[in-house]
Amino acid sequence: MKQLILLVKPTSILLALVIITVYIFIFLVSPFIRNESSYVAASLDKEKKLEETASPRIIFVGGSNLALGLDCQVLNKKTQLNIVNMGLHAGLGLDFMLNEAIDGIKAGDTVILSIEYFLEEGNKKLIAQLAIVNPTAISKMNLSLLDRFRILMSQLQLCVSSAFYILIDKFDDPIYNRQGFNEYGDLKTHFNQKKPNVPSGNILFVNTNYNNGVKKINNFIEKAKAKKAKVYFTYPAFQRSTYNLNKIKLKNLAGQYNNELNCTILGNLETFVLDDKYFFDTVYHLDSIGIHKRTEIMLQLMEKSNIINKP
Amino acid sequence: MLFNSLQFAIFFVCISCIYYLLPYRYRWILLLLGSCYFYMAFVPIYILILGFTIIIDYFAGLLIEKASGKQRKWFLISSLFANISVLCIFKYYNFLNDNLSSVLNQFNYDTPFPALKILLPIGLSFHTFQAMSYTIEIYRGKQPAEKKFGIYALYVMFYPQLVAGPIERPQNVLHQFYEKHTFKAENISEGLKLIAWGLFKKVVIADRFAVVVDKVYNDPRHFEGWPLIFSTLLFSFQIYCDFSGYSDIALGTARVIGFRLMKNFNSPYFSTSISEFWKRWHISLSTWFRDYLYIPLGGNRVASERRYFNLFITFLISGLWHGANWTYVIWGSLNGIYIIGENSTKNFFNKLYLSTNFFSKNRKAIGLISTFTLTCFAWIFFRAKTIQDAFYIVEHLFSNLQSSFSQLKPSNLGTTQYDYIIGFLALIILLCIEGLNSRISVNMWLKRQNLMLRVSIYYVLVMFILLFGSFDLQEQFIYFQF
Repeated sequence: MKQLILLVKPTSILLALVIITVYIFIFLVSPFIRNESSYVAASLDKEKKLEETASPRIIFVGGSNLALGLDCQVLNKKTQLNIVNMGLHAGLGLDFMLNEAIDGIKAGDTVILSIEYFLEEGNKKLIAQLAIVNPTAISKMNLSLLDRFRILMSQLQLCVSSAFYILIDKFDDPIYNRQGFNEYGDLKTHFNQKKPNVPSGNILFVNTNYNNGVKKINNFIEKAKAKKAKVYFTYPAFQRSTYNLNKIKLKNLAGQYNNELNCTILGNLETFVLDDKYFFDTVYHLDSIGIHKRTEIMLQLMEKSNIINKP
Repeated sequence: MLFNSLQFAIFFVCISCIYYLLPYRYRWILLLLGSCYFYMAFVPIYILILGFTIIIDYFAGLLIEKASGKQRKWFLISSLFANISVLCIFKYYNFLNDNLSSVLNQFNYDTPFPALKILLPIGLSFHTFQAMSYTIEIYRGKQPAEKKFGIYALYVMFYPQLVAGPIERPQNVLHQFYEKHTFKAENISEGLKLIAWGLFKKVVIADRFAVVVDKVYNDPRHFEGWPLIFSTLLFSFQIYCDFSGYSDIALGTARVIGFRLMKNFNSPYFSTSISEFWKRWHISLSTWFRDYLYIPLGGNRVASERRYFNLFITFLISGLWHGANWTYVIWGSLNGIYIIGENSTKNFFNKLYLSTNFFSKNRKAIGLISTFTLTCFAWIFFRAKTIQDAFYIVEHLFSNLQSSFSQLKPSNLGTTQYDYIIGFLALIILLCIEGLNSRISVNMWLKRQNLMLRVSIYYVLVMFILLFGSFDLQEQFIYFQF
């Protein structure tokens, strides 16, 4: 007992100091250092666009393979339909992506899903960043207690790093920022930028059990259908060298999609596999020429499936 | 269940609390069950392999003790053979098979042996070596055989050091399982300090540097010059902070429940010679190889040529212990060459240092810089994924130094300005404290301070971990793969 008492005083003081500091950072400091022009803050604009855009409309749902992968202005011009590009960041997780979209889907909508391969859980740091600018976002994710704790820690750390960047007066990323999105939800700020080193054929998918992911996508499809919306699925743009490295795993996934997804699939696994030279900085992000190519192919697929009328 | 995960934190708190609440005679059962749970959190079925080696060595120990003459030797050899076979099958089979295939392909033949698709059981190299030291020490008459199977199993499986050491000796650990560890504030305090310091090294420094190292070393052909030099330097600190951080957490975890494990690192980058480096780096492994390989080969008691050969073989095998890849063999051999070179040129350098004022005044600094440089160079082979990558890095280390400087921009190396600053700040703190520790014991100094100063220092450490720790990445400890 004596030994326990020896520990109580220093431990209590330490715990109290830590809790007070965490509270100060998360609840008192963070509102002042919220970065309203961060990339993930664009989710607020996309959600608003989804709410306000009039029908008939086509809604693209997925990660940044859509943000840096389609020219919705061209799609809008050629289809004469309103286009909403909800693509933002795969790192926000499949749950957020789907739940964010389902909230805004209306009767008569056409939804085209384009999900990054084997996507399920999000990146806690990114989710924390989103939570600071878009507090309702957390409710759109299925988070365990452990996940919430990790996000809390990430928020704490973001407070410090944001304060640092404010202090050094650092401007936002020239490419990945909220202002970089156009009215359709496309990101084109990278068009005139020098390409960084694109990872080429060295990313290997490890966890390839996607049963849970397929279940979640089917769940979304059922909810969308219940709202009298039509749902289609398509593949993301993907770098050829990385595709060749993961061919077997991706073919198995495509097989699973074919057998289990409760919606029409536009194209096939290799429809949007493009040469490495069309990619900007990741295996999913296209440069201007790549975006043009993908948009053209997407139009053809949409015509073939009678999503849009042929000219 | 990584040491830097919330699951482990919960596990550790539960085990520690229940440990002190249980009557002491049941504590070993708690620790054994806890260790089984801890090990099975990785790949459950591999506990069967661990169980197999435990059973073999337990009975081997008893038989060695009872037997006499040549029989003792045969029982020891059987035990060592069983352990080494398990290690070879799971760790080296595919490596040996691939190399055999490469050789046979030259003669248009192929290997008759199939490739095995098996995962390396976590911590295999560590607990195998710990088990081997047990039977060897019994054979040498330095350790009585453990009669209780449960206690022996716990010696091998003790969760703080099960997956990445330190590789303990039976004389140090076995008796501790019979001791009545009463609840002592000092054990809790010292244990938690070690855990916090280990976490600081791992999540603030090692995981932060890993981002840059991985960016460069996973695809080195995109880089030349400064990024290669910079990432190699970062790797030298990454691997130190990762592994010593793990060891600190292991020692701290054990200390909380009253166990004292051996220190595994002693500020190795403050060494002024390669020999000193290997007395300070991964001490449990280097002493294992010294006692069970180098000395039985003849050690220092033979002629210099034989002694150099013994050193080279010891380091070569030590390299191979780290992994089934020629890069590790080259790393080990390189360190062997360093040691041999140092030994054979000792007299020359002693004369050189005495010859001029400059050298004699700056002997320590010269020794420190040269030792660090040589170990960094060897780390290239340790970290590179293939020999081709390693040689590319070596060839391009000093290419285009002027133009490649701009490639050190954080965004080019997959990181941020903020992470650069935090990483280097933390590294400076680490080096200052380790430097100070070599002159005065920082821990003893801390104990003499008043409560508020001590709590303030702990507070700064905890906040550093919470504010700057990379928990999100969940980077596995490097030495887990061994």
